[in-house]
Amino acid sequence: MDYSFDNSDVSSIGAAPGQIENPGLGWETVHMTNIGIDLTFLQNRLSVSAEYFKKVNKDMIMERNVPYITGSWSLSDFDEGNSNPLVNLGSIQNSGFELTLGYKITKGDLKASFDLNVSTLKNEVLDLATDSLKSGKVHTITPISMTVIGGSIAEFWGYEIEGIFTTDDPIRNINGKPVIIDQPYFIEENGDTAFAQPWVRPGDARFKDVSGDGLINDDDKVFLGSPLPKFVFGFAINLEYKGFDFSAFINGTFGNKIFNGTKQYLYYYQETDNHAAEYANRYVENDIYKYDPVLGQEVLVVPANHNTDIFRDDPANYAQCSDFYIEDGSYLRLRNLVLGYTLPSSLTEKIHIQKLRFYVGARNVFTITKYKGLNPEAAYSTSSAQDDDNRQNLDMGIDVGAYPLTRMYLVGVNLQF
Amino acid sequence: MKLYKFFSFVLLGLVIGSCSDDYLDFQPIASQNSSSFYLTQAQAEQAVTAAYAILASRTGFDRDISLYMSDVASDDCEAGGDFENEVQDAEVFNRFTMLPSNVHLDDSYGLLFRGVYYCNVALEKIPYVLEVDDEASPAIINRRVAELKFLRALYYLYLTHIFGEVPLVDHVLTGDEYEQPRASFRELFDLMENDLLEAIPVLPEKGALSAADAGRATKGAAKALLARVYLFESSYAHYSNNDSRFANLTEKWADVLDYSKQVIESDQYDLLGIKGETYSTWHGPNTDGFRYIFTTEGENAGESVFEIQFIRDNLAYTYTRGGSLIQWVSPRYYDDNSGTQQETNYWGLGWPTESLADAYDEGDPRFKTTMSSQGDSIEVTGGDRYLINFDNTATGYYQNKYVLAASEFLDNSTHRWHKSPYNFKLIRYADVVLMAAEAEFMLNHNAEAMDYVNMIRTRARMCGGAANTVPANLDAITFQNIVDERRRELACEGRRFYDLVRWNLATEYLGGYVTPGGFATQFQSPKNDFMPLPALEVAVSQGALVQYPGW
Repeated sequence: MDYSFDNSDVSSIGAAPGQIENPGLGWETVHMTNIGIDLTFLQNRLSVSAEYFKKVNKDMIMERNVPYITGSWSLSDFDEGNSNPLVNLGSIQNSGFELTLGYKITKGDLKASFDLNVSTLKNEVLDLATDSLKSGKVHTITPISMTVIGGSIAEFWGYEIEGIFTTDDPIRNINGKPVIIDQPYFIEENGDTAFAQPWVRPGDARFKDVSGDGLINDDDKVFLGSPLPKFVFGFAINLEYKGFDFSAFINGTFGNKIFNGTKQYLYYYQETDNHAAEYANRYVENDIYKYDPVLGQEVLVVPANHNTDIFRDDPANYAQCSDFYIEDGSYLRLRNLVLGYTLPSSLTEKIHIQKLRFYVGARNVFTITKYKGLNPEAAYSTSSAQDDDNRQNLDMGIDVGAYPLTRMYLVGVNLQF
Repeated sequence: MKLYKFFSFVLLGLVIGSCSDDYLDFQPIASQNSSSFYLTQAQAEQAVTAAYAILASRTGFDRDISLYMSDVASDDCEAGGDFENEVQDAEVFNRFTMLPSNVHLDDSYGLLFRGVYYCNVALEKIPYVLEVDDEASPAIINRRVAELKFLRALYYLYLTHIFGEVPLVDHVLTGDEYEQPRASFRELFDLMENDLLEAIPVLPEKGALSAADAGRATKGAAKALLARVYLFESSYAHYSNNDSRFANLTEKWADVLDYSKQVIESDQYDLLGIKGETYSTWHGPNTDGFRYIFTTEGENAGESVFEIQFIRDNLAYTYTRGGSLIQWVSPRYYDDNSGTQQETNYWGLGWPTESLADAYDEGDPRFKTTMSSQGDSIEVTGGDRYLINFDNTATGYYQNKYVLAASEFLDNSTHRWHKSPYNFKLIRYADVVLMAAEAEFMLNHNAEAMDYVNMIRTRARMCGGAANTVPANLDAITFQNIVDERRRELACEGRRFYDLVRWNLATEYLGGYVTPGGFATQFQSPKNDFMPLPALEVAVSQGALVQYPGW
């Protein structure tokens, strides 16, 4: 933003706002409604707590794409550039039920309690001051999600894949290049046939031409699911019988999708590093040989593989958001398990010990999930790979490979004097 | 549930807020914001500098707005390059096959509105400096305000040249004002007129500028720009009065004349070389006046009313305040000593057309400064001169106004690509004289009009030496004389297409135009009188902005 007034090669320093100012920016407001009921039955043995909640956030503050007339233009790399203003963008509603059930029973020496809680969440974008907000980025894949009015916040948005091109697909020579013709196309003004994916070879992904116009572009991207679960649940059991005690805690989610960002690295991006096990079964056009200096000859390192649905190693197959990356994030996890035994106090008091308890237990015992990444929970949090931290609130359900959980086995003694 | 926590936090904020609003009005300490920044005269100066800096944005004014949108679009120049249609995003302006998604439309519209924004921010903030900075000078601040008004009018005039009617943005927009329809030409011309009428009394004459302020707006520049604003309004009203876009515009030829004459009579400007004066430049010790205007030595000289101050700043390609035009238009090939075609490292765009060459009388000295032709030479690396090779031009010409000595450009390898220190002329005194001529003619003062045109022709003639007789003075004047003289004098300076549209002559000159490669241009009036609005801008305007019919 500097300029020279004296025609010398030294500029005067200029300064202007780096982010467009919005003089009308106001506070965000939250409107909450909660209706709940707490009941107990059977002489307090069964307790039921139910609540309906509805929360509407209005005038939410976010960055917004705005017209150039605001001054927001920058030549991609022209000096500091201008960033978009903060605006009171729109309104989002979260609603759902929370249900907690508890049951306690005492029968002789047996004491037992069971607690279950389930809560549902429905998220709806009521208003946005812009058509859509695109968000999410993992390495070169962006955008990953889109938020639109009437939808749920930050739903995954990308291509559907209909399968894989194979050597059985018919090929025609066009301008000296082989083109697979078994795919969407349109007729250009000059009568030529233009194919949707003219460059594809056997082993490439077939992106679905949803709009039916013979092109593969943004018009063919569809919503691929929400990172928000339909419900989350937890279940706890506590049992005591004579000196023995047992407790277990299970929790999980249902109905959420995860963008498995680790797949980009494990299938394509890191050529020399580790790969997913499935990568071994990828499409390989021809046998790959490599010179072995010990044997002094070429050896077959990767055999040709045509009978597979794992795409060949090419960025076109992996560098855009598609349902290849979207996985079911539902899970059920036995998070905590403890079995203990407390010696009778009549025994221990003789050696002046109030309580002596031995126990064994485990944490993160098992997880039932279809998700192939390291941990379905990791994708709950904000993506750490996002370059633009202004959009973090919209980076939901994107797994970029957080540290996995450890399974712990515990053996212990509780001693009280 | 992440969202839940996030919202609780917002709620907490509201609870604290209810104690007292003051608790929430923190100023960020790591960065400046608009209420903590504009507090001193030095900061006010920086805000004004930013508004000027738009002029020197890489490839904005000199290439996109002048070369592509005006000269290439007109009958003066082909897009050119290595061959016809080499630079396809420029050729579309030659053939009128541009689409609203063309990136140069975004860049021009965005750059100019960014300039308007910088003017608006500074206009709103810097008067306040006088209240808080005891050492701030009211005279300086008032003058800067006048400069900002000049710049805002300049940016708006170019917006209307390129896009016709555009939204009127005379303040920093709030969040509910982002979707704006086009304002009418009437409203836009009123804004420009008011800005300039307010600026003129405050700005100093060019002769009163210190050397440190040579690039700043002056009283003469504001008057010349106001004459140009009146000229465009009057022309649209006169020549296109059946076009509803120009309804409510009026012919103000007396005002065009008044302000251009004030510039002429201010005694601040000269037609260089009108008495046969010569100058010492890199071309030689006896460079004629017309050539001298187009050298680095002639920057901000007597003919300069307002020009972009490009510099050699050694900054990277994206940050430089150097000009780009030299790189784009200088001849692309030369013949080495063995007669073999070699590249110059320039790109050779904007080939002047045969029709432009034919516009000059045989022997008009302006011809050789405007374009190079067979037999002319060029300095290449090391300063050696070689014959220019025209084999790759379809017209046989390269541009010659914006060329530089090798030592000023090619030999400074770190300064190459878009980094020329050579100023680009936005308003030249000859243009003002020709505005006066046109206004006199429209007011039926033919003798006066002819005198002004003959001033221009005399200077041109004198640049060929005392014995030169071409171009001879006119002894009668027609409208066509004025059209042709403007073309000859101002060719390749980014004026021609805007003039043709103003005169409603674009259909006549471009309608049947066929490129050297045989492509019939698609120009149609009124569709192509103005460029389409950028597709992105229309999309994000939520229906407020509508393309002109045909787009």
